[in-house]
This record gives sequence, C-alpha cells and structure tokens, in this order.
Amino acid sequence: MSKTMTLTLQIWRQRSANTPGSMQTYKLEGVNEHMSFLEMLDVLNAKLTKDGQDPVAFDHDCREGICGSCSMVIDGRPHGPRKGTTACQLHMRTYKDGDTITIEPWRAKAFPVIKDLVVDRSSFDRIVAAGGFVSVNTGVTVDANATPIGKKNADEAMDYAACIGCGACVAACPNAAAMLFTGAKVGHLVKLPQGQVERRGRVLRMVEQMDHEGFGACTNHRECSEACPKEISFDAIELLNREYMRAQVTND
Amino acid sequence: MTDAKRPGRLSTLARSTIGAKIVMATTGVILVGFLVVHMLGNLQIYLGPDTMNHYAQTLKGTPALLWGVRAVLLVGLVLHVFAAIRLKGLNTAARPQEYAVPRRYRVTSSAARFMLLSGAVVLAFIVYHLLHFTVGVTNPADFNLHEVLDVATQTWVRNDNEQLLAKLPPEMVRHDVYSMFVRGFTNPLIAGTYVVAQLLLAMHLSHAVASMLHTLGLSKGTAARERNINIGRAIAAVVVLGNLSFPIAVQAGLVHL
Amino acid sequence: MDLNAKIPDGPIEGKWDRHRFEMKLVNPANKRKYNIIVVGTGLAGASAAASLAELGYNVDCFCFQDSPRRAHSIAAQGGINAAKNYQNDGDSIYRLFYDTVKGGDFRAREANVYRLAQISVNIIDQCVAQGVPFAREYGGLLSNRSFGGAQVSRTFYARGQTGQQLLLGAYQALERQIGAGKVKMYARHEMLDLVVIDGVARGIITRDLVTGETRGWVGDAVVLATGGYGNVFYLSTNAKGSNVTATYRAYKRGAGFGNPCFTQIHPTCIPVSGDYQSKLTLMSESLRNDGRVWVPKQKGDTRRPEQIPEDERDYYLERRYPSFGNLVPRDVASRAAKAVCDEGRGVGPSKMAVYLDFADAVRRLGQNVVADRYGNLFEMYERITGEDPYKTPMRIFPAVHYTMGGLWVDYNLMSTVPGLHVLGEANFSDHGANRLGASALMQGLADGYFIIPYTIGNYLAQAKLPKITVEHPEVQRCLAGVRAQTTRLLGIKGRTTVDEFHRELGLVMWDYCGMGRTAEGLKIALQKIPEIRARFWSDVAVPGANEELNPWLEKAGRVADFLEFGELMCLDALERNESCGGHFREEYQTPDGEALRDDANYSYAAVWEYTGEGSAPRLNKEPLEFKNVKLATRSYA
Ligand SMILES: Cc1cc2nc3c(=O)[nH]c(=O)nc-3n(C[C@H](O)[C@H](O)[C@H](O)COP(=O)(O)OP(=O)(O)OC[C@H]3O[C@@H](n4cnc5c(N)ncnc54)[C@H](O)[C@@H]3O)c2cc1C
Ligand code: HEM
Ligand code: SF4
Ligand code: FES
Repeated sequence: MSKTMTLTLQIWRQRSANTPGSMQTYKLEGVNEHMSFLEMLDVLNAKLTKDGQDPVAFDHDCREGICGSCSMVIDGRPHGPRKGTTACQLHMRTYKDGDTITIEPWRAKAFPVIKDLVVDRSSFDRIVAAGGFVSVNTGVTVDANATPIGKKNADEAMDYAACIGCGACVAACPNAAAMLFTGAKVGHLVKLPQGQVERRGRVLRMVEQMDHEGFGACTNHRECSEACPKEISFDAIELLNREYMRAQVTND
Repeated sequence: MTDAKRPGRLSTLARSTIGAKIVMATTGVILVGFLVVHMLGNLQIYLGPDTMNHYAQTLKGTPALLWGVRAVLLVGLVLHVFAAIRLKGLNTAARPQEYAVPRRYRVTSSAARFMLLSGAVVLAFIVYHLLHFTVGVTNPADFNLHEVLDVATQTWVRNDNEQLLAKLPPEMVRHDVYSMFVRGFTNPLIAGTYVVAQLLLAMHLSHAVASMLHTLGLSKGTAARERNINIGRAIAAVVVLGNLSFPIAVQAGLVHL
Repeated sequence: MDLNAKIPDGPIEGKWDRHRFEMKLVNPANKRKYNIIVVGTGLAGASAAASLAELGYNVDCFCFQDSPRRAHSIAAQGGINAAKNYQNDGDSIYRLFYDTVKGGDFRAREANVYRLAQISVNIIDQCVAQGVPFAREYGGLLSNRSFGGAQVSRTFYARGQTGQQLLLGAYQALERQIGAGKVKMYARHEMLDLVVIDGVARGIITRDLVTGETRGWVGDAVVLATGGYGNVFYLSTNAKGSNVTATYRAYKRGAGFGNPCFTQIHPTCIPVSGDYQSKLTLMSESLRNDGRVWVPKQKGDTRRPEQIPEDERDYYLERRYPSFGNLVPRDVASRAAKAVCDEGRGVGPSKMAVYLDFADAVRRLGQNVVADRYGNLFEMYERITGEDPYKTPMRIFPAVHYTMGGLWVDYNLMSTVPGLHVLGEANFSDHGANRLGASALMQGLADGYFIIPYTIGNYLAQAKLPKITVEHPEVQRCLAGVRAQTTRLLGIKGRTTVDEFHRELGLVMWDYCGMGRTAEGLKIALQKIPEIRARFWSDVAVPGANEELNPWLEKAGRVADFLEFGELMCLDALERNESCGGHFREEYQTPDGEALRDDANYSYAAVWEYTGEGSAPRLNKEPLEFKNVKLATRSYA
C-alpha cells in the first residue's frame, strides 16, 4: 500500500501582474507518495475549486521534464530539491508526513509574474530571435553526411542543446542572470561547423538582447548549473565569455 | 550575417554585462598581481631593517617604475570599483522583487554573495593604508623616520634631526620604513584594524581569484573549475597569511626595533 | 462533400516532381501581399511558418503555450525515419514507402506516402544544416538505429530527445523570421473558431490566454498544425494541453474529419499508479531491443518477479511471434499485453501491467553496456516509480500515444474547406490505421518544410480572394459565438471539476473505444457520452473570470469539445466493421487473435461531415487504391 501524508503548503498568490501578491497557507490531506508534485497541486486545485476558492495557476504541459513549462521555486530551490529534475518529475515520496512546503514563482525583472506561479518568459524567445540560429532557408541540397562532425563535438553540441528553456538558471542565480541559457545556445551552435559562419555576430547580438531584457550579470556563483534540470554545465558560461571576448577581437 | 544588423565593437563591450565582467576580471588580475608582489616585498621585514629599508629606497630610486605602477593600479582600482558598482546596480535591478522565502543555495559562498561589502571594506582599508604608510598623515610621528648614511662605516644610522636631513644630498638619506612599520604595528588598535581588513580581503579574494579565472574563460570543464577554485583559495590564503603575519609578528615581539 | 484527393497522374515515383512543375507559382514580389495564418508551432507548424516566411509571405503564428518551443513535439524521444540508406542495409525510398503502407495496414493513400518517403531524405539534410545535433559515429558520420519493427536501420536520433532537437531547429528558424519581422508570433493564444467566408477559410478567432481578449484574425489562407487528440482518453502520453479544439471547430465549419477512430496505443508506458494520475509517460520503444516482456504463467501470481522461476514465466511475445519477438509493431505488442492482463495474469498493484525485464541483457552485455544504452531511461523510470530497473523488472502497460485520424486533406494538404490546410498529426495523415515508430516527426516536417510551401502557392495563385477585414460580419458572428460559449461556461458554476468530467469521459473512451472495441461496447459509449456531456453543461465548475489567465476556462473549452468529439470517434469505430492497425474490433479477428481486415468493404478513408447541432454526422468515403503495394495480411509471426 502506498503511503499518504498531510502537508502544509505556502504558496505565492498574485491575481495579476499589477496586483501585489502574498504567501498563503493551505493544508492538504491524503497526498499519495506516488503522486508527482504537479499532481499534488492538481489535488489542491480540485479542492479549492470545490470550496469556491480560486485555484493556483501554474505553467505545465508535457509533465515529463522536456517542455520546460513548469517553473516554481520549491522550498527556496527552483524545481525543488532533486538534482537534474523538473518540478513535474518530482514525486511526493521525496516528502514526509507533516512537511511544510513553500512554492513561489521565478523572480526576475525579465520574467514578470502573470498570475500566481506563472511568469512571462518571452524574453528567452527574444534572445534566440536575436541570433540563436543558423541562417539557412528551407531547401538546402547539401547532403547531411557531406560534412563529417567529430563525435566529441557532436556530443558536446548535444549537451548544450539539451536546455529546455525553463528559466531555472535565472531563478537560481542571485543576480537573475541568463548566461547559462544564453551560453548553452551559443555553445550548441559553436560546436558545429554549421554554426561557424555567424559565430561572431551571434554571440554579440544574443548578449546584447540578453542585457536589453534586464537580466543580471554573472558573478560566478554557479548556482545556475546546480539548479538546471538538464544539468547544463557551467562551462556554458565560460564558453560564452570566451566567445564574447573572441568576437571583440575578430572579424567574421 | 544575412538578415540582421552588424553590431559594433567597443560600444557593445562598454555597454554589455559581459564587458563589465571582463573589466572586473582584468583589473582583478592587476590588483591581485600587485597584492602578491606587495606581500612578497614586505616579507623582507623579516630580514631586518637594512634589507627592508634598502628595498624601499630602491623603489623610490626608480620613480618612473614607481609612478607607472601606481598609475596602473589607480586606474585599475577605479575601473574595478566603477564596474563593481555598475554590476551591483544591474544585478539588483534584475530582481526587483526578492523571494518571499529565503533561498537555499547549493554551492555559492558568503564570500561570493558579499563581494561588494568586502570590497568596500578593502577600499576603505586601502585609503587608510595609503594615508598611514604612503602619505603619512594619520600617524606623522611614526612616518617621519629616517636613516642617514655614515660615510665612514658605510652603514645607515637613524637620525631624526630635521635640519641635518634637509641639508644632506638625497642619496645619503633614506626613509626608515622598518621602524615606521614596527612602530605602526606596535599600536594594538592599528594592528587590529589591519587584521580585520585582511580577513575581509581574504574573503574577497577567496571568491575573486577563481571568479576571475572563470570570467576569463580559463576553467574549461568541471575538474579545471574545481582546480581553479582551489588555486584561488590558495592565492588568497598565501597573500593574506603573509600580510597577517606582519602585525602579528610585531605584536608578538618577533619583529622589533 | 467533395473528396477529390487531386492525386497527380503518372507513375508514383514521378508524381510529386510532376506536380511541382504543374503547380502555379506566386510571383516573388507578390508573396509579401499575402497573409497566412499558421496555428501551431510543433514540428509541422513551426517548420511551415518559418519556410513560408522565408519565401516572403507574411505569417501570423499562434500557439497556446508560453513559447513556440514548448509545443508537444518537444517530447518525442525515439527518432525520425529517412530513406537515406546510409547503413547500406538495403533501405530505399520504395522500402520506406512500402513499410509505411504495410505498417498502416493498407488504410493510407499511396501517393502521399510515396511522397513522404521521397522527402524524408531532404528533411535530414535540412535539419543538419540548421545545426540539429544528431547522433554520430566516431568517423563523424550520422548514426542510425532500427526502430519499432523496421528491419533496416533508418532512424536518425539525438539521444532520447529527437523531437526536442528537431523542434528546436524549427523553432530557431521560426525565431529568425520573427526577428526579421516576417512572422508575428502570438504565444498564449488559443484558436477557438475558424472563419469561413463564402465557403473559403479566411480567418480564425482566438482568445488571448493572459488577458482573455477574444479577437478575430483574417488572412488569405489558414494552416492548422495543432497536433493530435489523444487526450480525449484523458490519460495519454500527450502533453496536458494537447486538444482537438482547433480541428474540431474546423470540422464544425465544414472540414471533413478523416478516420477519427484510428488511434495508436503505445506498448511501453509506465502504468497508472492511482486516480490522481494526470498523464502517462512513455518509455522509449528502444527498450524492447534488449528488454524481454513477460508475465507469470499462472493467474493471480502475487510473488515478486525475482521469485518467479524461469519455467513459470510466459515470454508471450517471443512465444507468439518467434521471428519478431519483442520487436513486433506497436499495435500487436499493445494488444498482446492487454490480452494477458485480461486473462488475469497482469502484474503490479493494479494488475494492469507486464514486466519488461533486463536481467538477461545485463547478464549478456554487462551492466555498463546496458547503462550506456538506456541509462537515462532507467533513471527516468526510477524517478517516477521509485524502483530500480537494474534490480527489478520494469512494469509497463500500453497507453494512448498518437492519433492517425484527423482532418481529411487532399494531396495538397488542403481540407474540404478551400483555403484551410492541415499539417502534421492534425491531418488524417499518411499513416493509415497505424503509424510506424519515428514516422510522425518525419511527416510533420515533410508537411511543413517541403510540401505546404509549394502547395499553398498553388492555392493562392488561383484563388480569388476579396479583401476582407475583421469587421466582416462573419468574423463578428464567430466572435460572438465564442464569447457566448465562454460566458456560458463561466455561468454554470456547478460542483464538478473539469478534470472529473474529463476523467470520466476518458474512462469510457478507454473501456469502449480503446485497444479492443466491440459493436456492443461502442453503443454503450454512444449512450454514455451524451449523458456526461449533458451533466457537464449543467454542473461543471469553472472558477475565475474571462479577463485573466484562467487555465480552468481553457481546459473547460477543450473538454467540451472532447465530449462531442468522443462520440464521433465511437461512431467511426462502430461503423468500421473490420480490424485494422490500431483499430481492433474484437468481432473481427483471426482464430489466433490477429486483426482481420476487410478490404472488400472497408478499403476507404472514412470522412465525417458535420450536419449541425443534434443531427447525425454524415459519412463520406474516399476509396483507397493500391496499385504499387499488393494488399496483404500483415504477419509478424
Ligand atoms: C511521448 C511521445 C513520444 C513520441 N516519440 C516520437 C518519435 O520518437 N518519433 C516520431 O516520429 N514521433 C513521435 N511521437 C509523435 C510526434 O511527437 C507527434 O505526432 C508530432 O510531434 C506532432 O507534431 P505536430 O507539429 O503535428 O503537433 P504538436 O507538436 O502537437 O503541436 C501542436 C501545436 O499546436 C498548437 N495548438 C494546438 N491547439 C491549439 C489551439 N486550439 N490554438 C492554438 N494553438 C494550438 C500548440 O500550441 C502546438 O504549438 C511521440 C509522441 C509522444 C507523445
Ligand atoms: C586589493 C584590492 C582588490 C583586489 C585584488 C580585487 C580583486 C578582485 C577580483 C580578482 C575580482 C574578480 C573579478 C571577476 O569576477 O572576474 C573581484 C571582484 C569584485 N570586486 Fe574586487 N578587488 C579589490 C578591491 C575591490 C574594491 C575596492 C571593491 C569595491 C568597492 C571591489 C569590489 C568587487 C566586487 C563587487 C566584485 C564582484 C564581482 C564579481 O564577483 O565578479 N574590489 N575583485
Ligand atoms: S540552462 Fe538549464 S536551467 Fe537554464 S533554461 Fe536551460 S534547462 Fe533551464
Ligand atoms: S511540464 Fe514540461 S518540463 Fe515540466
């Protein structure tokens, strides 16, 4: 038989972007240890709905750790206590009966709160739009195997490309910096021959956009890579710095 | 670039957050480099007054080098402080609303989180230190100590007769740094101030050196990063332990007049 | 309903080339005068929006997630097929074509499938050029694996995140066009109606999910790439937001719905653990390459798996299908699992699961090799279930995964409503009654990158499109309709949550229209669904207001559509008196339990036409002809 528990939840409630929010306390009984964290919130929301109260809004979609929608700071840690795990993949067996759990949205100027735990992360999209791509139109006719790519580079590119754009790195950073995210995209493309042509302009434009969005600056706390559910290495930031310096002294 | 504007060079550097980081790091290299040399130089205190005062005399004897270094340091420090304040401003603005519940950090240190604080104390200390030992306005009695070359024995002897000093050619007079040093640190209040400042410097450097290496992109891979973090702490320890030894040695009577 | 598929003449190998030559072109300078509405940013939508914008069209693009990068395609794990024959193992365009038609149990349109196989090779070239980090060999060339019953290695993959990487490639191409101002992106917008003016699709109605603003959009053509409707079952491997709303509302505006009952059940998912379960997680099919599926021979055996001796285990797939063994196609594997559970031999607390055992693989290859191949999957399993698959066999059970049915489209991907084009999983597709593994990604990208950019030009070059604005009375009428539904949903203020209704519908669908269907069961479902729907409209609790972010209102609208659509699925399943692919009617099976097709009577695509509120939908048929592949009984024995 699976265990059930009673939890005290303290959740940030905020009706809209322009209204002030606050932490509210809820008691939730009968939480099954095999539930995912979001399923636990579903249960809370069903209860709130039936009680005529406003349920808690949170972003989610895939519920399997890949879409990057879910975004909440659980007990002071983005995505909660488990390393390399998104909130949707966190399961209640991590907790025990009687625990108090606090839940807050990501907090950053560039991620304004929309409602409760939901924030606006379109700033990430704009960083990508500034240069996080290879400028090829549809219809290329170069055979995919025309340019061999060493396995090591291909693997490293994949390591960086694994970022799900969730924003936990920003949420975790004491400075709300987005350099892990930006560095991951720059790293993905710079490891591949296809990314070379636009190498210089890409990093300059992406960093410019990143700054423009109001993200902070990295001071090497390394909290981002520790909080990252995809365990993107802090190397991404060092690479971003190197690429940025390189871009300052080279031409295309 | 096919369909986007071509970004400029220095203008982007000056405006960008990474640019500010690079300024922090490069000025950091200069400042840390100076701290190491400065500490090593001062170790000569243990070799006695003659070595120490000779060293000081040599430095003063090459004004081009001395002022060159001072200029670089000053510019470096000003830029460093400037960039630090700018970064702090950006970073505070980047999170206008703090978390309601205190965060649980996983790897960062208090040293890293309170860099501006430790930096500010170090800055205050630097100003005080310069006034104390370089300009000599805080304790003029300890500062105005000199030695005169005894031509017969070719040794330097202490002489506080100001009229005589003024008449002698410069190569026959030198600053008695050794005595200034010892008399300065004999005062427990001053010694204590130096110790406290050095502890904050230790805090600053324990994050700063590794941070600088990361910023310059010199820590490729987790292993290298761990190594650089340790190197950073080691440099911090060496510099600060060296510096701490001076007031302590004087207070303990190991170095005396 | 006109079901002319507009298949070009000539031999199958030359049809697409010839068609491309014969299609009308839009003058490059004129392209910027056209405005195209693209709904959806999955592989199909993002690739289409980006490619159309590259050509010069103005694109308005919509998705309901907060970013186009989060479309459900992101979750695809296994890989994407292409007839590159890089492995020199005998693959060819013809073989991929053949396998797809056969895999789909001869219920797909030959010409479309052939074109898909042809285009598959361009997709890989395109993706590599974009920087998609496919897996590579030490020599630097692309790596392939064999997947889901294919006997050649034609599947390209990027670790277990192929869908993510392909989608990021398309998303980046899309963002590039957004940056260039050619695409206007509207995230957190949900399409709630299609605007048809003078019989032509001219616009959509959306609700801004942040502000609640409903507004109309007009354009010269509408492209729907809104994905599949697997969530009609409540529990599925689809993302929580996946829905039928866009396609269903288009159906209500006149677009024929093709083969709604064709759904795919994936054999290797993590079983349900309790009522609170909100979705099911797929474990990659690749696990079947080394894992062995079994259940105890004895009914109601409650021993732990380790305690059951070898000779008391039934490796039923290996027993029933000696040549394919654990690698039989999805529908076959799923049904076999259901069969043993129905016999009472299921395992785990729910008894609705079978073992997938790696003990042999660990013995044969060593733990390191197994960890290397499946480490991340094992970790994922451990994270969800709290059990360690190195020590104890995984428990798996089939789950709804993909829907082959969708809006009917002709060879040009245009629905029965002129101007309305449908791509990806949202159309009734090229997969017939069952889709092969790694072929959905291929189809989505083929549609978006390489088909729609041509065929939409052909449409626009010939269409007579009077200028209209959002002030047009028809737009306003649709807008009023959408607003009225929102008001109605919010006004009910009942006591039952949206999820409760959705779960109830899902159970009915799973029990009667799931892996095994009977006429009798489907009739029961056809009675139950309207009954649930009636209760929904009188007792649903939708908290909050319209003018704010209101996830419950969104969900309520989607469930309202599922409650109507479920009925259409059951109707289709009931009408098709045969078993084929994912559609298994228990009355129609061979003595040894295999699907029994009826080619004489059912070799057609069923296309349903909406005839109005309260009136039965009309069935239209597009006959399927097989000139290149001989109709045969699928056999995996
Ligand atoms: C777990 C899993 C694993 C899979 N693995 C594989 C695999 O390995 N290989 C393979 O080939 N296939 C796989 N598939 C199938 C494949 O992923 C999908 O069929 C395919 O990605 C569908 O792509 P799409 O572009 O048609 O739609 P989707 O990716 O579903 O995109 C739908 C888009 O439409 C938008 N949308 C939907 N409704 C509305 C609305 N009403 N208003 C506005 N926007 C709307 C959404 O926001 C989204 O952007 C897998 C599927 C699942 C569930
Ligand atoms: C002897 C004097 C000093 C030395 C050797 C020194 C050294 C350094 C170094 C090497 C760094 C790391 C730069 C990087 O992250 O790349 C740093 C960071 C920093 N310094 Fe100093 N510093 C000194 C004085 C000061 C002063 C006077 C201030 C401010 C008032 C200051 C404020 C800061 C701040 C806020 C940082 C944090 C930036 C970061 O963490 O990246 N420092 N310092
Ligand atoms: S780098 Fe990691 S934490 Fe940051 S957005 Fe990407 S996946 Fe999330
Ligand atoms: S819901 Fe998709 S990553 Fe959590």
